[in-house]
Amino acid sequence: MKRQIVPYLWVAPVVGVISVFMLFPLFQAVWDSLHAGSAGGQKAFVGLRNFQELMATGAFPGAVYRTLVFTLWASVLKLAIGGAAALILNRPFRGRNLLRSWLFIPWTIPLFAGGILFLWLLRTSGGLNLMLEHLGIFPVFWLGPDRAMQSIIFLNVWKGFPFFMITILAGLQVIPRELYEAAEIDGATGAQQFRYVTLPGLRDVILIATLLSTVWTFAQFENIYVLTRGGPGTATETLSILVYKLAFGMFNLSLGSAAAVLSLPLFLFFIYWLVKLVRKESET
Amino acid sequence: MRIGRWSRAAQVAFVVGLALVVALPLYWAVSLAVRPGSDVYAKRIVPSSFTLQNFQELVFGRDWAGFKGVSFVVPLKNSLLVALAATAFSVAISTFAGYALARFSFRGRELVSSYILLAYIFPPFVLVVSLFRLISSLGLHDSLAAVTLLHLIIVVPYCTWMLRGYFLSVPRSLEESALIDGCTHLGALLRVVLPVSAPGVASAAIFSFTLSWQDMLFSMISLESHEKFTMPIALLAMAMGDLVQWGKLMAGALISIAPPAIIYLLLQRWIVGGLMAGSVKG
Repeated sequence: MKRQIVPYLWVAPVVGVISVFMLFPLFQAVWDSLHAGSAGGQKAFVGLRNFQELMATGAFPGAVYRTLVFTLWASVLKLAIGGAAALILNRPFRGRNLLRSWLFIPWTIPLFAGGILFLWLLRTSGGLNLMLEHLGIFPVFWLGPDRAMQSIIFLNVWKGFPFFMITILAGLQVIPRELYEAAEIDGATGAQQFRYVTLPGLRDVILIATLLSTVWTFAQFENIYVLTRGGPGTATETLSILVYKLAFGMFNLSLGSAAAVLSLPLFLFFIYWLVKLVRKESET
Repeated sequence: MRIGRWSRAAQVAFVVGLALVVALPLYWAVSLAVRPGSDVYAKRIVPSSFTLQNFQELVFGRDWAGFKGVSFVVPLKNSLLVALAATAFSVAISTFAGYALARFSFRGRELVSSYILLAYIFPPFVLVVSLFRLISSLGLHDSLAAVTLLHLIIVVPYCTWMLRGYFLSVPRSLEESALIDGCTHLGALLRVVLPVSAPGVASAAIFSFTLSWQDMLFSMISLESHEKFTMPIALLAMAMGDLVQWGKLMAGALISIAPPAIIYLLLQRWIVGGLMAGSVKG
């Protein structure tokens, strides 16, 4: 009898924390999204009116589009740059360890601090333009309406590529050497070895790292808020920024909740897939 | 793999170029932080002279973002306090949960594991409005306790998942003999398993600390008064307005970067192991 109760007692505090700070707030968000946003007093049930408002004003569809653009570009670039760096660093050359540690640094920098650094780097009279000026190149409005999206992608890739680099490096080390030796004996070229030994060996590592990073990038707030606050105008207003703006800028908690709830289906699939994958991986 | 010498040279050039891009914002932060204030708008790439004035003014001055009376040590202390409290609480409850998930077989174990993993991946911005209401209704608005509580949802799932993985790697035979000798599960965990799991617990604690240290969103929705600001929103306040003091801002950013950067570089080896189980968001 006692034996059966002990495990539940031991997991109870953690399950409790998650329930109070994730599950309950999630239900609360759904409830809020169906009620009027006026602060104080009885909140009237309004059905889907909050959702209709988000769609009608174009605020939500716009934010979805910008979030997808941001997530897609940032994720692809992080994977490509991090993967390339990993493959290159996997083979010995002089100064490799130093270079690996150096390239790893952005990942250790808190998101908000990365935003602060880029604030100076990318402002009109800031670091990058100053250097360009010395080279005789005209200053670029990095944080202007045309370039702001590229700038937040740049910051996100700068900060995030080392994650792919070190995960893929770790994955490369797990691939058995004999596989390459066997391929060599069979006369496989470098490209063939990459295609038939390296890539299959990295499949799960790349898949999990990409999915994790995609969900995080999708939900990214700190980087964007510090660097552009979603602006200029709505040029970089992603879903996380929209939710924050509606709830804490316009003080409409219901509209904010509605935007949060409406964005759920967009990444729930990724999360489901990821949970399944990581569970499978951790069993083996 | 056989690779031509020239393509190898191109590859190394690529990573060296990448290293320069990595250096760019860091160079500017350091370069602004150590140059005299008059230098900031002088269009200089290299400082004209070296000074620690910005750091001194942050620590001893009381005027880092237009609000008088609060030294920059205050947000530093607040961030440390929150991160330490969230970490201590998380490690304590996660140790038990992680051990239970790794060792006991009980109904619903798979479900609990998935629940914890889900909480680790779940994006905080979806919950932010409800969490704001939750802490307000608890009367905790504008308190460091609120930030600490909210950080639990970032830290606890991660910590539990990581410790579960670590306990799975500890051989069962260790505690089995203790259990046969009449030791309770609690006794076996505390006296046999924990001592050999010190590296796992330490790294879970360290990563938890940096996770809490990184968060800005939960501080933003919880805190109002300047003397309660944590590092990220103190820096955010410094970066606002028309007259940004760039030297001090960069000095402050460097102070906020130092703790996690030092920890990670010292522990690089351990990080990769914990990566797949979950790691710092980026």
